[in-house]
Amino acid sequence: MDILRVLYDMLYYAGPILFCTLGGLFAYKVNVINIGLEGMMLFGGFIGALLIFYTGNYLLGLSGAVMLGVALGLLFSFFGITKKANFIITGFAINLLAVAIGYYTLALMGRTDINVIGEVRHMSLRLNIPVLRSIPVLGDVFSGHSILTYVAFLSIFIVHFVMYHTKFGVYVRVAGESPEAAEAVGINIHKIKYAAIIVGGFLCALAGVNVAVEQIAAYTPQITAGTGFIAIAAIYCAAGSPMKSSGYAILFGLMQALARNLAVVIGGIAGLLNVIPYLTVIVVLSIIAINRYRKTNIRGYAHD
Amino acid sequence: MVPIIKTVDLTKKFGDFTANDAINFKVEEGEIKAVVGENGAGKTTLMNMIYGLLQPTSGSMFIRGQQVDFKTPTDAINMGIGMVHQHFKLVPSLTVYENVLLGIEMKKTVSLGEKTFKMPYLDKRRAKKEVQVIIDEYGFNLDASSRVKDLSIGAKQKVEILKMLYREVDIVIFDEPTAVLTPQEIESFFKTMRRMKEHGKTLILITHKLREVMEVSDSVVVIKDGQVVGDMPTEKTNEVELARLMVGRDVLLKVDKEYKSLRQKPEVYEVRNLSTENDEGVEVVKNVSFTIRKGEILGVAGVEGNGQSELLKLLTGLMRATNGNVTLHGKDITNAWPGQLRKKGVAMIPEDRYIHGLCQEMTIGDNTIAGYHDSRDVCSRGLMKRKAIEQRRDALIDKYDIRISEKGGFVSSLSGGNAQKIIIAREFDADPDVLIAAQPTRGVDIGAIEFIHNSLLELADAGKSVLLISNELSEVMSLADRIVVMYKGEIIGEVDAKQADREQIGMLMAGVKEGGEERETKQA
Repeated sequence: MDILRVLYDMLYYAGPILFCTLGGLFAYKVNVINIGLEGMMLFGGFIGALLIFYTGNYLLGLSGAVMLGVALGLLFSFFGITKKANFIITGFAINLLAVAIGYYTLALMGRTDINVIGEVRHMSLRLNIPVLRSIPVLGDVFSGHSILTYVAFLSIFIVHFVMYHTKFGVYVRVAGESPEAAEAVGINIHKIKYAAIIVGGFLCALAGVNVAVEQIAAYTPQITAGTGFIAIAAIYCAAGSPMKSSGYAILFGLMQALARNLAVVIGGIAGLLNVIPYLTVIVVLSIIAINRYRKTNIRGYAHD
Repeated sequence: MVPIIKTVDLTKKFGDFTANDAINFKVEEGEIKAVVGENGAGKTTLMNMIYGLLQPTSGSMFIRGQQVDFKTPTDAINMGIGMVHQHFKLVPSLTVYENVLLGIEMKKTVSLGEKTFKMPYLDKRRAKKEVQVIIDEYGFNLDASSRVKDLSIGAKQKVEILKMLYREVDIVIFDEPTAVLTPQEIESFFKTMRRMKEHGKTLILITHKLREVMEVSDSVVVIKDGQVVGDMPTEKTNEVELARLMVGRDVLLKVDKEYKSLRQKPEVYEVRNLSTENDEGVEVVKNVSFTIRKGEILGVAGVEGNGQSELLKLLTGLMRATNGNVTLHGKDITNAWPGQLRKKGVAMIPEDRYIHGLCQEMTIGDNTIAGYHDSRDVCSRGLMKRKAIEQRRDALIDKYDIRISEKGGFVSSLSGGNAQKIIIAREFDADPDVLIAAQPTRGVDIGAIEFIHNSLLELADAGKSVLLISNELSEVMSLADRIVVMYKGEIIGEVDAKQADREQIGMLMAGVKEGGEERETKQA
């Protein structure tokens, strides 16, 4: 097994997880559980691939996906916040809707996938960045990824900056931690919650395009493969801290890379190795839960 | 002169309930106005309308003669009105200056030649500096960049006041500002109030502590059942008259307690070197030791947040001890679960009745057996005996005079005082050897307070041991035989309640230990 190959794949797989994690942690910070990250991502991949399939225009696909992501964020907020529906059910509805519309459209088109390999090959979405390329040994690990993968890693720092150095970030943290404090000085918490969830929809759409267009270049309703839920795990492991959550996202990316590269070596029962990333999520969450339990002397409470 | 605040027939209804009934209320510029009344009389509702948190059902409000219609607190702040709430509205994880500037954050500006540009990010350095200037101007001993969660309660209140001063409001409403302060902190708070008055501010003080009204206010308004029942200059009234107006009848401001000698009585409940840590690893209960004799009430006084809550959790099985032990009749009960404790004869009145004492969305009957639900009398072979539960409920309602509208109703339909009586009835009915009572009269009306106080005294007379944890110093002083004071998780001192005076306990609450004639606690 080639270590450099594993590292390259780690960045490759971490990209979409990062988008969902960074998007979802805004909702986490305002005390909203957005279980619909998966569906928002799937919708993004779907509309992106569909638009590119018909027009061959990458930017059109990307902006379509982003607009739909924002619209889904609005939809989730409308039901979850304005109408006070249960977040889990609202999120689940978005997830189910994403899969259902995907299969329905494929059936209408009479295809098994929305294949955009030809279009994507034309566009040369993989970037060769000379500065990165020239890094000794690791040059090949950092170079040659698709545009959105770089954007994902850049977003870690952007989200950190937004969260801790802008007004919006302060309001997001306050809206979750002490909403009464925010209300007492006239901050509109509903607006902040809407905005936090919409940012999530936006970033999840980018995750979808990253996978469905740039990486696989073919949309099916299975491409997300739980990425949204892995992101939720990453957010909970680090209690919504942008830097730490991203660390977990990258760790889960590494596990996916391992699963794929080990499969090449082992052959035969390789299918089983696909459980590695999901097992890792369970193990990491258990360790964190046990540690929290050990630290507290209080009985019978949920703590974080 | 035009009054700075005037309301005309201001009315607020919640459904069928009239919280404020045609209130005509007036405040002159530059005065300290006290608003007094019992819990639930409607003081806070009135203030919330003036501050824009609630909208009146009918009637009108005038600020400096100009009619206003506040939709949100921002509207009120823009008219120069600020409010310091009873439960501070601060963000613990943010710093002092971030809390002060919440909602009006400063953006970084960058000058390029003659033009200045507002950047999309915050200017933390300038914000810190500006807040520190006001802190120093008012002589508050605070650092603008410390985190609010690390501050004492008194300091947190100063942060709330800073929020108002920074916004340059000239009317400040204080909602029960002294409830959580030590007697010394209260003095310092009054000084702050007088200094604000010198700076030309108008202050409104909501309280039910009549002594404070007499000490600091210029005029006073009494509210009862949503109506103004008294409005006079403070110098023309006194505590007794105000109490009568508040309650509508003559009230005994003091409890009659007979002090008996308990020295020969056996020690029933003993706590030795008890300690525990919170989630951050800070020792919040340190080496606490005490004993309670048969028939004795031991009071625990202290400023909120000095380990009383954690001590209560330790003694009622909600938290594990890291060190020390608890014994009942010489038998070890350290770290027993609440169910086991109840079986062994420890009854408990929790701090927050709706979190640990009652289930609001269950019936009154079910709540009267909660915690004792596996007793043979009400449950056999896993099935609840509905009839037996209902009989017990009816008996308790009679015996403890619990006022309810419907016997089969939910606890959520009861007033605070009657909900508390359900807990009292349930725990007393179990005939315990020891009762651990925390904040037994928090948020209940004066009538229910009298009842609860008398019940506790009767229980002690019947030879039971009582541990009374309360933030109301006067409650502890009038009920207990002995008082221990908690400070930063430790018992810093013990006094005999019969000879105790407020000043002395106040010093202990503030962490000041006197040497000399006073009895010191033994500390390991």
